[in-house]
Amino acid sequence: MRSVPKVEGKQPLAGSRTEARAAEADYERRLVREAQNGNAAAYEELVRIHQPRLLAVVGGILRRNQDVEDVAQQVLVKAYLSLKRFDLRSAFGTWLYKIAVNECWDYFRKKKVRRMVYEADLSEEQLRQMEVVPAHTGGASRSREDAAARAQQRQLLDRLLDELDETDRSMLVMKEVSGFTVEEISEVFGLNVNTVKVRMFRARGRLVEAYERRLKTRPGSPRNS
Amino acid sequence: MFGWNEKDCYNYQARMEDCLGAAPIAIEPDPELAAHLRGCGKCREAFTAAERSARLFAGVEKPDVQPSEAFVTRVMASIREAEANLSAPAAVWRPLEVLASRFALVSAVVLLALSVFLGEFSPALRQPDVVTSTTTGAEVSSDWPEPPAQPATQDEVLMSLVDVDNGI
Repeated sequence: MRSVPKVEGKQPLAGSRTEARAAEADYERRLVREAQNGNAAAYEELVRIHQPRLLAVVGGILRRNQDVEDVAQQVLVKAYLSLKRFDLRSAFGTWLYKIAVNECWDYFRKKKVRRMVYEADLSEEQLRQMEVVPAHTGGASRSREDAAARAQQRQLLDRLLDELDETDRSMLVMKEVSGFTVEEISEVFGLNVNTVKVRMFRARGRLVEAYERRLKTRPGSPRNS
Repeated sequence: MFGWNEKDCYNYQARMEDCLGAAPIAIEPDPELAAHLRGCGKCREAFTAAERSARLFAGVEKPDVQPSEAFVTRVMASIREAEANLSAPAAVWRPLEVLASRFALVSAVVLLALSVFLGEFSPALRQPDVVTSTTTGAEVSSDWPEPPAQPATQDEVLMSLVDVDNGI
């Protein structure tokens, strides 16, 4: 790796929101070009910029903290090694997250793991409670019980998400868990914004169908009798 | 009953997805969508289901992975390592090694398959059928050429040598 001095010009100062975005995009393009010319420091800066969202994407899909960092690291190494082929037609982030999503799918295929979560022992009552866990109640004052309920809810959701296809699952996770906008998701998957919205909407329907099926097949469920 | 077609519903599905992004979920800001939902039972049902799924997601913990400087350091170290591996002199021959090993493997498989095929199906290597018909010793011996008779005189010896020289 060539040792090249750090990239001139630090993070752009924010003026209006659009200007700030344009300046950020320009700064990022410069970093990418520098990195393509072998400037490791420029790539390091790109890693720093995209690290939180990359971890959110990979973490959202994999949900195993230990593996999340390994897979994210692999994504960044892969991206660096094929950076010369990146033509800057899309944003670096979009390209990187696309690699990340594919890497996550590869991870599942290679390890042949369907996420190992078992909510089979949960009662129907517990399942029903999961649906009424209050929304948007983030904060430090959560009780332990609340945390346990959320962990269970996450397990159930993982199981339900397994019933969707890879793209729909990743889209929903990116939006609902990793906080991506529909526009960003459409760029990552190379799909029209409307198509993404409709796919996600329909995937939600399938998710609830799967949830209903689970409620019905639960032993002791009145609907099962 | 209201004459909604598939295309209408498709477009409204995208708009319903927009509503799910808001907290709290509300369709009032989109009166056209609200009117559609009042008239289209299928979409109303789908929207109710989507609302339920949004509730399922709402209570879910976000992944607890914190960005750190140590992570950046690790990434850069593995990039250096990957680059070093790629630029090492041995790396030049690696594709050839891989190719050679694959070729060896394929050859072994082909040889094995060929030997099995020859062993099983080749007519030349088959055991001759046992003669089951009853044949006399005379019949069998008539199939084979008689050996040349021994020369009795000196002239016959000379004649046989001449025959050999002439290639007879």
